[in-house]
Amino acid sequence: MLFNSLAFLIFFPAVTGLYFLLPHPFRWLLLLLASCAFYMAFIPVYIFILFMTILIDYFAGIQIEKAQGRGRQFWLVLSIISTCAVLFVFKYCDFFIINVNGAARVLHWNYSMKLMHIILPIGLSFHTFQSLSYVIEVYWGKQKAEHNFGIYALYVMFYPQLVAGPIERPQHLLHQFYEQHVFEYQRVADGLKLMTWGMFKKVVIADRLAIFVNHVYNRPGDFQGSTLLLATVFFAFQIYCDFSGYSDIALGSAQVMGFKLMQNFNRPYFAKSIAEFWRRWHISLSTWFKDYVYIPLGGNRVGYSRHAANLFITFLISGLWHGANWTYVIWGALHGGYIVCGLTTRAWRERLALYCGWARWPALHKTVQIGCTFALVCLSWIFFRANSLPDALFICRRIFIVLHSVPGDWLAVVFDRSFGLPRRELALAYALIAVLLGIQWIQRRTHIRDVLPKFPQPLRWAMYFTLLLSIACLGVFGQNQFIYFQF
Amino acid sequence: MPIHQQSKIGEQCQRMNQEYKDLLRMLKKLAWLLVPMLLLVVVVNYYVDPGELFYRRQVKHAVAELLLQGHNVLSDAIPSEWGDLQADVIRSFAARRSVPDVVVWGTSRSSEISQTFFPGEKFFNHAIPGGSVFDYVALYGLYQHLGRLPGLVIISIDPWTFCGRKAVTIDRTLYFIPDPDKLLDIQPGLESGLAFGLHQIQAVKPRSGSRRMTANIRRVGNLLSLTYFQSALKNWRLRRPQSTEKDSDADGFVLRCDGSYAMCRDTAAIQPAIITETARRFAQVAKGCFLGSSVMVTDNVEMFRQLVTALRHGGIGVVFYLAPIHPVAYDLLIQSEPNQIELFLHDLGTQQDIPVIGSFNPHVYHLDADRPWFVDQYHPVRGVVEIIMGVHAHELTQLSAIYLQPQRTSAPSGGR
Repeated sequence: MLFNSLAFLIFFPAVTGLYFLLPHPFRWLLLLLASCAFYMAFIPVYIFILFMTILIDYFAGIQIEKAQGRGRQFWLVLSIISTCAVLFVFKYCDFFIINVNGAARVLHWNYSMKLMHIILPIGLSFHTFQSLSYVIEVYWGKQKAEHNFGIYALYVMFYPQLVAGPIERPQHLLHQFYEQHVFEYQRVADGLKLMTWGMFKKVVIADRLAIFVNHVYNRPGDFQGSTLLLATVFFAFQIYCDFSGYSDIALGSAQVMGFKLMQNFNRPYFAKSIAEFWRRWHISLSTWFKDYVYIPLGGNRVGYSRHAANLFITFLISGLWHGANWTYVIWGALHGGYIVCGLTTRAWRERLALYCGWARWPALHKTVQIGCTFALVCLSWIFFRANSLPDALFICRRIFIVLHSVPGDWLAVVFDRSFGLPRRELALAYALIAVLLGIQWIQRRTHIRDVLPKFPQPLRWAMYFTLLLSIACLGVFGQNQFIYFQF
Repeated sequence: MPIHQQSKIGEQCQRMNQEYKDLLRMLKKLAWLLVPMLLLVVVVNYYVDPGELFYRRQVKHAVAELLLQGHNVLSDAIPSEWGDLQADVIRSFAARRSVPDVVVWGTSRSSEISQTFFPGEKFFNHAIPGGSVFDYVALYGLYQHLGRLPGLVIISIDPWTFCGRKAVTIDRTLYFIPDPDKLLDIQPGLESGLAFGLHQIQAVKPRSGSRRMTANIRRVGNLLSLTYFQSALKNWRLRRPQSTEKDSDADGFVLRCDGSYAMCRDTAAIQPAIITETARRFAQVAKGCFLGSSVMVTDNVEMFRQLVTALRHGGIGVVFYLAPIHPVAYDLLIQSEPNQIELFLHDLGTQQDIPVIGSFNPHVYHLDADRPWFVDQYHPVRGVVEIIMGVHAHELTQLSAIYLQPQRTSAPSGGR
């Protein structure tokens, strides 16, 4: 079930209403059943795969807690292998086969495997990682094994974050299912506002920008470099609004029922470095990788080269997590490369800033840093969005031709007319991005939620009404999936 | 009861009371926010009504009247619910006690067949966009209900004519099929015609019991639809259909008085390279399920056979018309499956003595991709129809002589 669907518009109030009507001991059962229904709205039979993962990790968690010494390791390894095996079969099998076949061709071996063409269960990578975090935390002794199977299943399946996160930790979420949540006006109101804002980002900004981006990225050969550059910038905002919109709806809907999920985004395009970008973008995933991959590899408590390698490997895996395609691997490698370069050149950059006297103009310095970070992120988004590796390389080549051209041509980027779509739509896209950035600018010190009550009531109501009206007037209601659902 | 228990119960009651108050406050505020929004949407949707859902009867009836008075009709877009219009047109024929000599039962692919190809005959083209065998049976039923059928019926066959559920999964918009399990959902205006037509040809009624109800629910649902709301805002100055003397108009859609129309408003602007790309992309999606047995649902094929047999037994002349497909699309599609629909029609034509004019294969008429022969992957321009009609002119003249002459001598006076 999509958050931006009519079905969810009925599902959510119904489940929430029942949740508050039911006595506390039965509420988890309602949420579990609702989560099953939510998941089964996609491909019903895949619920069995999800239950298999849940069952394995549930028993593994209990066994890890019971066992001593190597027995604990055995159950941990068994759980990780079986959970990852499901992920491999459904997500990476065809990618693996394609590459093996390709390698066989290169080596002139007469060997070929058939592709399996399995449809990826929705949100598989997300709930797999959530399951893994549970068994690892139990193994580390930071979390007690959950003995109520229903509650554990709900921890993995909780519908607001089931298909695209945030990837929760057991310490943060599990205990919340035992707490009794009352209907609290302010909390519910804040949750609903967050959901509306998330919906605005998804259906108005992301889906509207998607029209341009898809138009250009599906036929990159038909467009000049300036158009490709503009489409890439648009994609940066599209993916942000798409995913953060989803996260806001997830957080908001959980908040309405009294659950607090972890924040997933914190104005990432205002980051001054790539490292900071990753502290602001998909926070639940980056902290997952930090806790369960980067630190176990040795983190930064090792020599420089090993530290750099740890960082690079972590980002490479992160790229592969996003999708079984070389474009994602390169996207991850690019970010790994950025981070390693940033680490290596930090002292040099600080000296250069001192030499140039940037300290006298901190605002300008910050703006340049934000601009550079955004440009690097956009470069990586080309690989993330492109339909294939040759497409991505072609787009990069065309964009670099534009960047090398005379400055006068740069205007062509902003006032591009070659999209082949109405200019009114293009102007609207710029306006929407400006609105987004404006609101994020307001939020640089305090959340807009805390600013709103300071406005007079009529103004606040006018703002709510405008938001709803703009969703109604400008939203794209084609049941567009969230980009991160595919991961 | 101990005091501490009493106070606990008291606290609980107080909390529940507070929750109840909070809930009421929330519902009240939501109502204040959402009800005006919904009202606005409903009012705009109803009064602008860009899809002519709520003024359907009046608009369609007015269009039918204008057509039968011999005027072309100009509107902003292709009118929706085309089947209703055809039903109104046929009812207007009844009111005038005049039936055309030659009719086309077809789709947008045959929309360019016009009066000019049948000089001296009373002609009408019932081209229903996305039409299928069900629409044809309905048109047959409506004419049967009048008590008189045209002398010559040109039935346009398209790749989706016989298909049921599979059609939905490919490109084709089998018009208004909300549920692929229901074989077909035709528009309300044609419903009575379909029922009567099926009864006449003694075919089984398709499974679609709740059709009218679903159609009505859908129509009411559109009052609240945000997509419809956006369309209403875009078209709030929508031009209601009006008569025009023009044959085509770059700014609007012209339905000619003989029922024919052009799919492309401005044929001079057609760029063959772009159309070729569109055709290629279409073929990639539709390959394997466009020309072959996968789109020929047995029940529908049988129903078509019964329809044709009924027409032939009634002494009506029938012609199968096949509009070509874009050469790039056709070449790609034919690689994945044989052109079984066309083979079937030739067989049926031979059995029932029915000529087949045209072909899905564009190479038969030497239509190449470099010239603007097509509006998109399968809609030919008027020039293509002229070529086909030119090639088969002799056959058509012969058929007119056989089937229209005796009818004309016994036909009542009047008509357009």
